[in-house]
Amino acid sequence: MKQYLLGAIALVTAITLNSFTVKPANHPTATKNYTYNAYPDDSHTSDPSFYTLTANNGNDPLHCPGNTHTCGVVAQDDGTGHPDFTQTFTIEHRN
Amino acid sequence: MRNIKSEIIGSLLILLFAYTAFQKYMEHDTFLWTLERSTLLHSLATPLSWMVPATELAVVCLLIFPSLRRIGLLCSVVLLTTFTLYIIYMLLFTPNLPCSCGGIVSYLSWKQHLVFNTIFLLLALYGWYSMRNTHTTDKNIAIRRSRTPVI
Repeated sequence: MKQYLLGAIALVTAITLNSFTVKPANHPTATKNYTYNAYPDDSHTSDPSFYTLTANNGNDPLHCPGNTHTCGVVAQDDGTGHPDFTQTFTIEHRN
Repeated sequence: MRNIKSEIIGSLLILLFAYTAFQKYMEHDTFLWTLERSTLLHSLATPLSWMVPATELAVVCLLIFPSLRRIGLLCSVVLLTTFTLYIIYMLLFTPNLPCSCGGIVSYLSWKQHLVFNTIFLLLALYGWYSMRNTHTTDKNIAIRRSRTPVI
């Protein structure tokens, strides 16, 4: 039985830790979709003011087939309706 | 013969894999969301979102039983190597995408995650290697004891 002791303790600890792990409010799933308004000019991609929320308060998906120019971004909101580039984000491209 | 080093390493790996696997199941939508945005894995996102934690739990089962621990450590090495290669890929190509790992591990940056994984990979390798040596030594002792004494 002694041989199982450490493994059992580890398993119980993992389950206990799971119970106390809280999902943060600013997790990446709390992101919105933003359309890049200067498409196909890629010179303003790092400026949040060039992005606007898609319809339905940023919940409607972006339509970005291809991989040439920046078309939009999936990011957290900075509180003013623009993407927060200080957090992780995903750039969507279009031909 | 009891190998305390491999027992401790096995327990650490059980803690890591069980914790992250349960987190991936508990926050399945988040895990799937991140996989769907991965340039490398998006086409396999749904099956992977179930298979990855299932594999981690299977490795946990192997690590718990002393008779299967050696193969469990080897599977851990394979699993951690795969995860480490994925992290290297993400670091090189899509560093702005969040990690798809579970729980508190997802708060690490890609570089921190690489260090974290490398440490666990080395531990698993060391555990497997030390068990391999113990196994060989036990075998040699058994062979020596089984020899019929010459009168």
